[in-house]
Amino acid sequence: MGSPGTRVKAATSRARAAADAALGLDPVIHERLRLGIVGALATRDALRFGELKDLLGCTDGNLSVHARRLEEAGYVAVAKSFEGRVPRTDFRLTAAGRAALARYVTEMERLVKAVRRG
Amino acid sequence: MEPSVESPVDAPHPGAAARAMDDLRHIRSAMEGATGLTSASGGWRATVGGFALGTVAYRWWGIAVAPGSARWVVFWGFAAALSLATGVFMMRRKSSGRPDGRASRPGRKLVFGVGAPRAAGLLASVGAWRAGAAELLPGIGLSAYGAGVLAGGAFSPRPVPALGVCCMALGGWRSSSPSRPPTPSSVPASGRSTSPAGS
Repeated sequence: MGSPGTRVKAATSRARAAADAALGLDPVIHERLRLGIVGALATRDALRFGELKDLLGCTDGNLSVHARRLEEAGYVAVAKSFEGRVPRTDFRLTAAGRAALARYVTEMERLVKAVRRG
Repeated sequence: MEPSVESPVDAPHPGAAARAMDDLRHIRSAMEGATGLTSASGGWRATVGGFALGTVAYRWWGIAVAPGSARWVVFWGFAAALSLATGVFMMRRKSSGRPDGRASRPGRKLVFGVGAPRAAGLLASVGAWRAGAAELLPGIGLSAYGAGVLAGGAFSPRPVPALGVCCMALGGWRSSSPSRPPTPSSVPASGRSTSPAGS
């Protein structure tokens, strides 16, 4: 059993997930950092790990975890190589990832329009 | 995003719309950031390369020019204009074909961040020149360039603002200990100095 604060946080998270599911939002992409990763990759052929980290202002661990989630979903392709003895990781947006971003943006725009219409 | 308790409902409510707007802004910001990174990097390299080229050219040709002379100022003005033009050209070429490349927020930040200190440096240079303190020009120019790199690259990878700080420090040091204009005896009639800097 967690503290009351933890329970409220968990309930909030569940309610938000349910609301997002009701709105038809993709749970893989509907997370701030993952959204940033996909958005940044949409404008570039590929981005290095360090470039993405600087761009999004996140930690190594955070970026690794969220990039792996996107990779598992097939939205991002990861290429690991070496530059001399230095490991290098390149991220690339897949066709599925690009389509998911387009769907997400369309859904967000539809949502905003629906509320504005009242 | 502020956490808030939301219930699953069929119709979207204003809170959901606000989140949607926030998400769209976040996507746009990430896209602009990545675009700016691409467009700016070439410009930076070209600008820095242009200045390096100017420095090399100075060592090769500038030795024939007496520091503080009108020809010397024209030479440095030409080197600065050349490097800036090269930077702009490289940036335009690299950002061509990208939607909203030059009008993007990073693009504007770069132009105004770099441009304003350089313009201030130009005004200070003109003032120093008219006041007969031409020996201050290298320090002013370097400081203004460093300030531009620092301001324009404040959110770029660390080496960029670090370069700006180094240039400002060097410019400050150069301004505080300007070289004296050469006496007529130190510049031979051929115009070639015998100083080690020119060797």
